Amino acid sequence: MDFSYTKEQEVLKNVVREFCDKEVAPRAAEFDRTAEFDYSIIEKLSKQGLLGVIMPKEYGGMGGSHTDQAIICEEIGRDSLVAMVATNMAWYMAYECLVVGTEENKKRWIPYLFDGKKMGAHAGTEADAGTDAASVRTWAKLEGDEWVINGTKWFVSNLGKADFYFITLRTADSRYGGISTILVEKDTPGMTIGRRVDLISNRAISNGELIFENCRVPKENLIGRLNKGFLDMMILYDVIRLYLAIGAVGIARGALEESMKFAQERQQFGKPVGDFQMIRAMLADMATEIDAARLMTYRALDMEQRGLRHTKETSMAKLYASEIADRVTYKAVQIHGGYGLTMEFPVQRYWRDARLCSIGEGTSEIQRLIIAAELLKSENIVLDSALD
Amino acid sequence: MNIVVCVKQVPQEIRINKTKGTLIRDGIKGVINPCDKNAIELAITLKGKHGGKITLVSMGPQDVENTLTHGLAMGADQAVLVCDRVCAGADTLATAFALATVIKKLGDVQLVLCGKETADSGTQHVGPQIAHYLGIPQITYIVDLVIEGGKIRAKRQLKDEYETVEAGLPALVTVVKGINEPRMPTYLDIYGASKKDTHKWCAEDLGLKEDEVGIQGSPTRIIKVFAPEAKRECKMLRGSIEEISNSLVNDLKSKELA
Repeated sequence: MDFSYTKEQEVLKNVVREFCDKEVAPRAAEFDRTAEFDYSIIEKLSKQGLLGVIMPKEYGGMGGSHTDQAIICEEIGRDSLVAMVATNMAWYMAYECLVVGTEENKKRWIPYLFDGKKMGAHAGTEADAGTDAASVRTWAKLEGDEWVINGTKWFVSNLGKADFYFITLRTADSRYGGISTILVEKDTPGMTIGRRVDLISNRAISNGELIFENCRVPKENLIGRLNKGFLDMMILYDVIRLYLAIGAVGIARGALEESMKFAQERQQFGKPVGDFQMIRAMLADMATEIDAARLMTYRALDMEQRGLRHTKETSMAKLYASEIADRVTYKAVQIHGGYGLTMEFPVQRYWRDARLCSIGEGTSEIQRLIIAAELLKSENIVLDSALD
Repeated sequence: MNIVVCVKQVPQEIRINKTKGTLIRDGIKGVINPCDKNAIELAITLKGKHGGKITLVSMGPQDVENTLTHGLAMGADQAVLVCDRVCAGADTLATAFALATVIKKLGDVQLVLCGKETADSGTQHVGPQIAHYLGIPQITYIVDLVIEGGKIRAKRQLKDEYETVEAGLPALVTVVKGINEPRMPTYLDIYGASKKDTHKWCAEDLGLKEDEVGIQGSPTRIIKVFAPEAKRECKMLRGSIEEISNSLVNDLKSKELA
């Protein structure tokens, strides 16, 4: 087992760092303050060939490895989790189409979805369907050659910024066996943006309500297999969750690096606070947990690369990485003392942003249920029902 | 126009062991020296105008290959790494000697480019010393370079002025950071770089004797490395504008600054 970087990956890491030092780091605080992300960063990233490198060459990607993609995500996440989430939104949906889409889906949609400019969004959650994703009530009914969509989605990230939305909805009257994904392009009549939500975490990703009232889209906008959307979602989550895990690693690393700098500069009792054992212990724990989280994430990505099943390993990595991000950023604020509570130091932002990781893309509680089900080989409340 | 660019791998951050008075290199990632990227960028521009081949030359341990891969990804054609235990601990003179030997062995080189200085030691010695060993003219601190009729004309950035100097080819120049904006390699450039040749040469390949290289070939003895202490003194002046300005003028006069 070898998790060391190749020389190309070493260079890739340096190049992405250079990109982030120039384009992301100096603006991360501004994105947070104004709650506005600068989407031109995505085009710049695309020009460097760094957007969605895991996409195959035939679909405009680089045919790169998951490790390469993780290196890019970690570096961006180190400076701004918002920037990582936003840039991933420019290739996630194309990747989804690649993994779960039919051959017609791939031909028809990937070139449209993945052009280095367009932004996507995923609308799954509803007021009463969060962790219990299969209880969605938004319906799509086929009328002739068109889907007619009715319902309301909530907590839609990239709201109003996305060029297209992937909607998880009901296409049949069966709890797990009646879910499908339908693509709706922005400005489609019948789809409107409702209430926006003001967040404390990842503020620059616009978020809120998406309303469908007799919204009509062509039949070909169905992504993946009809009524198998829930299972497709689970398959996809095995990979997508790992990119949030590596984002959590990135943000934790950012908090550690800022804390190391501060601990060496800040003087109390006539010496740098980093000379005190309790601060050193915190730094040591932070670094150890970050390393463990990264290795767990890499292991699961490696299993994906080798075509092995890794549901348990993904959930473990996602659970651990997001929870250590919480602990590490908390300690970073602690090490900074009073300065940690000011908006002038980035650790408060890392602390707030990290909070997303143990909630988004499956809460820590759901990850624990998945891990336990895999361990005990007992009923997996999510997957088994979907396979019925 | 065959160009050699001398490249050094430097630690990503400069940290000094205060007790030992040495630079900490262990556990700190190596990156390409910032000024050397400007030299590579200049080489790519010159190659675009005059054709030829760009060769990167470096000396150091095995992992310097990563730094050379960065340079190859930017657009250099090949790289040579002098990698030998006997070369360890070299000062600027022994480094310059080894690099000059590589350049001689390559042959048919018209222009040697170096960064003005390195981020870790900043001596600015190696460029001029290579020129000495090669017996070719050198122009340091350049911000602009034109090649015309077998000659180079370079604009040097001095403390308060610019100086334009002409020299015949072959020649060596050292470039300052402001000369250009080094390109960032794309993903495909990075993977394309691994298809280019990186030759690893040891002292024997270059016919270098043990006492000419490494610590044995280095006359310099470093007594201590320390970071200059930046001392700032803040003095608050209070009173009316007139009182403040009088006391400021008196202060400056007493320090012979006015």
